[in-house]
Amino acid sequence: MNAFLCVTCIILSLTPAIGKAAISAQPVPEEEKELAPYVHTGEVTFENGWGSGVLYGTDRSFITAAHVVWDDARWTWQNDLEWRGQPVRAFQVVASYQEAVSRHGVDSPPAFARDVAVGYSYEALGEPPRVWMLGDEAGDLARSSSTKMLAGFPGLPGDTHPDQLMRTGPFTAAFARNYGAYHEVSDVTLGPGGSGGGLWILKGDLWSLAGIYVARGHQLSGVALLDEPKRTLISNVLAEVDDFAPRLLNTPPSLLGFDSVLRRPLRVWFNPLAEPKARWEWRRGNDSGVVNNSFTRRTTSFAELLPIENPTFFDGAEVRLTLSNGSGVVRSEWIKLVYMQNPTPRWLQRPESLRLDVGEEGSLSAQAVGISDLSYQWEYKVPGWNDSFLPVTESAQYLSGFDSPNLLFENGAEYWDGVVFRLVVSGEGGTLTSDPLTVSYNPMPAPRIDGPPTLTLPASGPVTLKVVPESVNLSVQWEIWEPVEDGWSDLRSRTSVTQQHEELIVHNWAGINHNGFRIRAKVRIQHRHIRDGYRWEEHVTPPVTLYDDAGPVVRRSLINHREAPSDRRFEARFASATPAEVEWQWFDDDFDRWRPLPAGLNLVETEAFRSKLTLPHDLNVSRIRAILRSDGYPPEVFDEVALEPVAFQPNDDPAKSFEWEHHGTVGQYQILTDGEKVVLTARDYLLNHNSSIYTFTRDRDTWKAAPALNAPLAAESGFGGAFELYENELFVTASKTRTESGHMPGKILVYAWNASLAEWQSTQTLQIESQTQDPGVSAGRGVSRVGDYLLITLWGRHEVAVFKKSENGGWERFTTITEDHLTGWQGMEPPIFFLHQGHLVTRGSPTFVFSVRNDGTVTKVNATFPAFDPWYSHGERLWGMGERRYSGHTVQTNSWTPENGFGSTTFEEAPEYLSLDAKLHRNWLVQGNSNSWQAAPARAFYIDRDLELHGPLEWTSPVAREQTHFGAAVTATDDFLAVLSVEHTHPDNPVYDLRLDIVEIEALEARSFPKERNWLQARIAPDHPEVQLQFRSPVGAQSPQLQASSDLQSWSVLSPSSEEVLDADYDGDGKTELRRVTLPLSTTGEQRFFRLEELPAP
Amino acid sequence: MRRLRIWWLGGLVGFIVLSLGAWWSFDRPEAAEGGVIPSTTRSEEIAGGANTNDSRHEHAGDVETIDSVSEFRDRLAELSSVEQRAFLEAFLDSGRDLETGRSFHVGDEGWLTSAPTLRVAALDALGRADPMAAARYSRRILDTSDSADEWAIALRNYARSLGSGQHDSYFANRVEELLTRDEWLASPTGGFLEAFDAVVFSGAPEFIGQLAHLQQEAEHAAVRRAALISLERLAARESLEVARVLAKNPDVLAERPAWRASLFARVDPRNDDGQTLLEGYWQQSLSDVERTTFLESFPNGNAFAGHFLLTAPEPFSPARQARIDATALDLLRQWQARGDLSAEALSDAIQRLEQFVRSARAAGYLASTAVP
Repeated sequence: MNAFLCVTCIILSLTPAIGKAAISAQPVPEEEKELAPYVHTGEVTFENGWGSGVLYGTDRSFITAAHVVWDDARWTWQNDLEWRGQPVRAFQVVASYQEAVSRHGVDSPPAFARDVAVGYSYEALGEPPRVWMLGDEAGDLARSSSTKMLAGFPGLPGDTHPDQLMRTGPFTAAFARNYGAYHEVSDVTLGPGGSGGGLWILKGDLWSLAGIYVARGHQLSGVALLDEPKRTLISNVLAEVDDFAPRLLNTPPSLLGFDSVLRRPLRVWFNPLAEPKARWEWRRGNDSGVVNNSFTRRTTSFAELLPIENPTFFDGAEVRLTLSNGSGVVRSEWIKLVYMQNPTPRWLQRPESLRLDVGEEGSLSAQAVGISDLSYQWEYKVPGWNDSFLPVTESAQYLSGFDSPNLLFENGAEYWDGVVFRLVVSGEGGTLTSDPLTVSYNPMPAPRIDGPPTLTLPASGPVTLKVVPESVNLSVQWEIWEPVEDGWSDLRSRTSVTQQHEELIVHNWAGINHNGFRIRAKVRIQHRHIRDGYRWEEHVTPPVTLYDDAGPVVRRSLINHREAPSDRRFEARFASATPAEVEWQWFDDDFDRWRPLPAGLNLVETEAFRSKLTLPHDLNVSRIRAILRSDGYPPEVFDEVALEPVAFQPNDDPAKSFEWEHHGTVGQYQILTDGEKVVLTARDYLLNHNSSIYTFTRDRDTWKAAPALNAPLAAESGFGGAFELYENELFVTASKTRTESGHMPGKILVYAWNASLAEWQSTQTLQIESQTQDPGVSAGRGVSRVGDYLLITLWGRHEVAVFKKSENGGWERFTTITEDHLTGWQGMEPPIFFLHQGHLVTRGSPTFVFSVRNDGTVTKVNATFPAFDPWYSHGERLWGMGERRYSGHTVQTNSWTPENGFGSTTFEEAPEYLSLDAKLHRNWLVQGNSNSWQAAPARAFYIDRDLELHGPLEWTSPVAREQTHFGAAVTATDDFLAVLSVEHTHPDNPVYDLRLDIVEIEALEARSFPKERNWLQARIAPDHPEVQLQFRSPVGAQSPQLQASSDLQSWSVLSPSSEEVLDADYDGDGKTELRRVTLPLSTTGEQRFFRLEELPAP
Repeated sequence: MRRLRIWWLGGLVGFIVLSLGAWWSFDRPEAAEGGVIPSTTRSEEIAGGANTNDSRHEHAGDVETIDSVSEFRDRLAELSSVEQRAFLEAFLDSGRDLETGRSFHVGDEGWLTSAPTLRVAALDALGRADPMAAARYSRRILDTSDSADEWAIALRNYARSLGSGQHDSYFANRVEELLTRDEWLASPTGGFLEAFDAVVFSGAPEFIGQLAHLQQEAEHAAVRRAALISLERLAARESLEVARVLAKNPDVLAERPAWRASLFARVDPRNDDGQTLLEGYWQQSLSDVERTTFLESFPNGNAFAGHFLLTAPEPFSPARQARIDATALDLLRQWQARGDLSAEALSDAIQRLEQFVRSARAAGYLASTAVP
């Protein structure tokens, strides 16, 4: 039998005799159980047994021996652990794949060396020890000069569930290292069930935790040290349970007396893994300093006992404590110090009698000081009702602070009118009692409406009226009298009001358009008194007369009568003594300005004092507002209203959907779209790794399939390993036949789309370098068309071949992005590129930015390394997938400009149910149905410019079914969603049925208001590096003169092949040209200035 | 900028030297300098590989003269990081090797704290000096080497060139090969066992059949243990996918119904897919043991902490677990309301979850509505 026995507590038939041990476990006396280290020790129980543990790391976790929870049959799903009867939510076991347990058995020193587990609870389990060993644990264990102790809940032979806290020691016997972190000591025993209990070493006057009791032999004990690797692991897994910042456990007193020491003003806790530095600071007037800057490490008494060496110096000074570590800084409030030679508390300010008005708040206040925390108790006596003082309690009405130096009389506290109070102060050294004092209230005057008897309505905004004096015991009913009405009526029936106690806010006078109307209040007062009980009294205030002669008045913010998301009805109400009208405006996001609603659309209905607007549900408008105009008065603007984005949904018209199916040995598939066509590759997995490329085009309202493309030569392989679709050109990788050396020179086949024949026609073959021997990836991992560049990722060479479009429209080898350019690139193979701000940007993380000059020189100009994978460019921003969260990726953006480089990353948490296979397609985040068990929809989320996710649009193919991966590949435009489904039809071979479904999306092509004519478009001719700017006028523009306001605020950087709308609003100032345009050229990085000249009409 | 770069390189060199120093000082105080041993690697194939670059050998000096661990270490310490890459690749190309007398020991972030052979140490160092070059070299190791320890580091170096969650068929194929190499299964080395973490990194639930098979049938206890840990960790990370594979393959772990149940109990019920799967599972005709164990362990949040070669241990998130508990409680109450099977065990599980949810609410992890 092994010389060691695991002391796992689930063994109910305990080994009988421990033997005659020199030092054995003894019960911890009852009065010591709440002291360290016993208070940190707990019993870990579960259905079949028990063990011990020690609170560790945070107040919600404990450490124990792994074998307490480890039972080869079921430990991984043990879910019934308790710590001192509190539920333990989960645990983690320190483990390794090459577990010593499996090589040496559970009762072996190598297994004991790592025998540690951590348990977690939602709620605090107690207070963890403040001091752990953080240094030479092994050395301290080996020294016979150090004092040690074991503590836990060992059982005695025959026990089934002992709950007796026991300790072994203190003892000084030296431990000897057996294996790794496992150490043993002879003639010291704790016993079974003690497993997981702590090994404590006395450091100064405090017990420090050094290890965990894990094994016992015949008259010996074994412990696993909490060495650095274990502590690191445990703090890593505790990272989300708690932060490691130091904490103040109480609020310090504002005032404290002291003699030679400052006693216990603060209690603190900190995690020894992140032990803070502590500093007491003092200040008095303009002087300040540090009280004592030498504090012993591993002490908890930063705040409990502070020696004051020069007490008279600190009399009247203020002190505070600062604790800081890498996880945070905490500072106490300032504490004012009073030097006391006599420990009896003394008054600094005695409480005095108080007189208040009804509704007024006030306090009985005192200030006393003692050498310890003082306790306060207010007492009261009602004349003629009780003769002795009674304590004020927490439940006293209208009073707060019964046990503080300040007793607050709240609104309504006239309840205590005439009552006598006193304050009793107790502390170390004695008690103080104040003289009796009286609280009295002035008689309450008759209620009235606050302010003058006449009132002119303000030009805008609500009107507030208030009854005074204020009191919680008032109830008010507001009434109105109008010249055309008979008598007084309830104001609430005439208009919208908000009323709280005696205050009234009238929001809308639209229905009361008469000067000289009156408002009054009927007031009911409830008198309450501690001695007299309840009494009611009614009053009517004098009226206030209101006049409206300040011109048109916006009576209310824009009202959005929305009953459904698509319901866009708005109303602007106003009041005016002069003729007034409402102008409705919409915000033109393209030009960043407000524009009036086009006339003649019959969207506005005008009535007296209000104007109604109804917008079509599919009109693409982000914001609207209304402006009230009246002759002789400045315009007034209603608050603007932001509109929900136009909703979208799949079009369920069968005529607009498309289905296509394919059967074959397919190992790889991919779909792309350019908005007009969808191109799909299906790659043969068994034969020559060639793809069939299928193209689908729009034919009016539906789609049709074009002739498929296949490898032109049978001997070729790798056709379609990668492909790119861009502006009616298709680029497809292929390889030549394997050479003698095994290399397969690659090539790119270029096709152009013949729209009239609806088919691809071969135009060019581009040769690229030899790459790899693997026919599966032979012809390039990626092809990117980036503006006028074509970038081919060379598999295995760590290079990117760059082709450029020539003047005749063909492609010519231009340059190579070499391995040197890609130093630091962390992907396995060179990256895929896209165009951003006239520069080449890589997909993937890190993100590299390159500039390319006309002579083919490639320069890396920037790089960033966050977990951010950009996919496309939009203005100054890069869009992409961010870091992985629990169940999906985030969507992130980051700005990059040539001037400022990368900005800060912002992210939007993707919906949790978006799995990792979600894909980003321009403004769409699309996810297929990864559940092949049953039919389920593909989902698409639309991402707006504020990174808000909208949707999802959900769509289930009519034939989505079990065993079908609906959405194995997806692509989308603003018009349609194309989803590829894959059904594995043969269990042993990669034979699949492919199915393509295309569904039209409604409402994305939303209508917008017609643009006005005062704009022009500018275009840079891409083929001329010296840059030509051409301007094209909009349809219908007459004699396009280019005029610009002097405040060109929103110039965008133009890049080749891009078009930008330039705001050239006519402002009639006579200026006929733009001042200047700063235009970085993407190919050179230079900047030039241009004058934009008038061009003839197209 | 130039100064910064020099500083960076200096720091890298220092780090690598310190790391190498750690290999020699870890665990045993005395240095063991093994003699020259025949490599288990098909070194000739590697040396003659297509990508061998003669120019880099010039920078690296003559690796053929290295015949001691200390010489290797000293030589490396003299080099810049660029030269280190060339030196390490040349050394690996040479096919030479030395035993260090150390164990294969994984430390923080998957770096080795001790290595059994110089080639393994060199691969680890190459991963630090030039991750991209190390990833490329890994393919050569994985295509040609018969050393499981070298494979382990090669898998790690290769995996680090892949994005998180990125599927790579080459990597998956090599992991599959790793799990089926008979000679490694029969005599598992430390590196071979640590390489089980590649399964966890792959996130591929397809491996659970093989892992379950190894856990139950492997001849060597160490393999059984490594399979258990990797299967549990894979299930903790990809609970839904693992459960789907189990559901489609009822034979997997059929003889271990309680363990099967505990893996289903890891499924997060907070989304529709998870709920659908759990509903389907619950409606199956389960054995009493499986049904009871599921109820006892659902939702299962236990895990492993350790230093792993490719993956980081999963931190315990009380906020997430609390939301899972609340949703699980709702689900079990629905089953109870339907009068489903195992009424008593269901009632016990609900009682346990009510306790968890009450505790989570009291601690502020859940909104404090009425306690259930």
